[in-house]
Amino acid sequence: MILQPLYLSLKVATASTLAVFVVGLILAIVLAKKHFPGKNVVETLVTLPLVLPPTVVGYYLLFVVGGHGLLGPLLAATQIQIIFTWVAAAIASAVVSLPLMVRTSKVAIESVDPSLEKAARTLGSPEWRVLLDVTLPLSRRGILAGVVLAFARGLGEFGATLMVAGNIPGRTQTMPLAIYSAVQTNKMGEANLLVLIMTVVSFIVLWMVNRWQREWWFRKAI
Amino acid sequence: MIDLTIKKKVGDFCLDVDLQVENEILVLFGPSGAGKSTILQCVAGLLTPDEGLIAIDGEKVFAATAGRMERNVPVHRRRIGYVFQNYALFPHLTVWQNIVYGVRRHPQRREMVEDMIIRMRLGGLEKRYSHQLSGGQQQRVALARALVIQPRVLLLDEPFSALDTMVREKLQQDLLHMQGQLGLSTLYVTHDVKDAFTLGDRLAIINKGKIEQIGSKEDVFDHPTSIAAARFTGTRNIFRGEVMGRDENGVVILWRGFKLWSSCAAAGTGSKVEFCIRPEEIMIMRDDRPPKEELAQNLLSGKIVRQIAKGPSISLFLKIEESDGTSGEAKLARDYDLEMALPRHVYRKLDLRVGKRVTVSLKRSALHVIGPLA
Repeated sequence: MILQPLYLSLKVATASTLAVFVVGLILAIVLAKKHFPGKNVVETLVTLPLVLPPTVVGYYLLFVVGGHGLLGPLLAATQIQIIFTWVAAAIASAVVSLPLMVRTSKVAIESVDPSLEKAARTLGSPEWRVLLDVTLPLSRRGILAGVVLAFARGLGEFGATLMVAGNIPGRTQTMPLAIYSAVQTNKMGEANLLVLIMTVVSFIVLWMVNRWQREWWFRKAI
Repeated sequence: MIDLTIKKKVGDFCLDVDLQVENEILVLFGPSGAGKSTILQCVAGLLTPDEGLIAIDGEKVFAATAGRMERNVPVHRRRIGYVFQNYALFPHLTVWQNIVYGVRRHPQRREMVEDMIIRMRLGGLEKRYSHQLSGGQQQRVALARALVIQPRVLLLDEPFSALDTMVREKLQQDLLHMQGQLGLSTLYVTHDVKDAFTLGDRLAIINKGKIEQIGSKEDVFDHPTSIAAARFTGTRNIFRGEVMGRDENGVVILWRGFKLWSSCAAAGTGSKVEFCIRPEEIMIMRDDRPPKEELAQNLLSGKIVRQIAKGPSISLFLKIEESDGTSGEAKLARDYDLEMALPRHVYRKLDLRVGKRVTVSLKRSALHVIGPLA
């Protein structure tokens, strides 16, 4: 089934994006609002997957969730298999796309006018309410941009996925992997089709976001 | 009522003030960076002083001595009405949602917001967003939002600085009216002299983190106790002279060969003093009429060297002719000695112009010797 890789890619990217949304947003809020010792180190670590080769990230992931990895005994005891499943692919996607989510959201949160947050405080809102009523609604555009970037990055993930999830057709073979395999085995017709699908899907996602952002800008400008 | 004694150090800047505000408008006036806004933020709880005490209506909201915090009520429990310089309206909420924000859990919120909308003349704008409002409307929403929570004190941080004169004057009236109705202790920060004079019951001049002078606005404007206070309140003519003698009504000061009478009795004979007079207190004498008795003293003659039209009034700059024909004291950096302001119609009637020679009187009662009040 030719669409199996597409389905798998969307599933992996969606799961990864959900995780990245929650973890990334919390990290962004903490990094934007709090000052603590070692903040710089945390920020650098979060950003590291952006510049490291994906194979290096994959290697580290193997080291954590692999059979002989840090969590190996725990996973064995609970009979959970992560490596060479779609879950591993999702984890790989999540780790490489996390920096995109954290960075864009953090910038958006930081760019909210502090006097608006102060105003909410003087109007009786404790910190968590200020966050929910003012900070997050006003940085939603940046947060959404982060989510879309994370999703797009997850959709195109190749290197780290190959390391931890392998390239098992029907189980872990996502679109990029399927395209690679098709080319390797000289199935150019299949490769062309997959490339076309991938391009169209990516185009639609970005086009929708662009349109949505423009409308938002337009509303804000008048 | 606000009672505050605080110290706060931020880098090289050191704030050290002691203020009481009754049910009145106390204007904090002074140059940018003097610490006016810092005082407001400390009262609101947005900034934490290093030490001191802040009480609102007798309730201690902040107390710390020598770095030991005894009490610090968080901002959201202080019930303070705060109007920010840029209004700080929530851009993602409508006018109604902005105003209701502070009372959204209150059972009577509908009535409260509607009442505010009527009082602040915001009817029909409930569904608008802040970017669809004019500056004056935004300001009224900000004021409504701050007042609807029934604050114990009202803090205003240069609320009218971005508005044009007409809107500003209307809003000043609104504010005075509301303040009078609610009897709120109000701290009003501004660096605008006119704002300060129009709105303040009392005035505190803040300079470099300290209170330069505090008192009724008449006192502060007419009797500055320091040169800095005189400068900030727009007393342009500040001079040095020597006290020559006194009578029962004041002192006579020798300045560049002229004898000038002042009603201030504070200075002792022989002492060097600084004295000042506001531009609008300098009276122009008419050749065709003898001067009124109160203006017959302190007459000086000079030539108009420059003029600047300032709306309804005109500023004239006068070069004084020396009494003994010499160039007087050390050369001044400027080309004039006196700045005076007079209404446009007087200017026209007397046919004044640059180059014309005029006689002026430095009204004795307005000639003020700078220094502690007697």
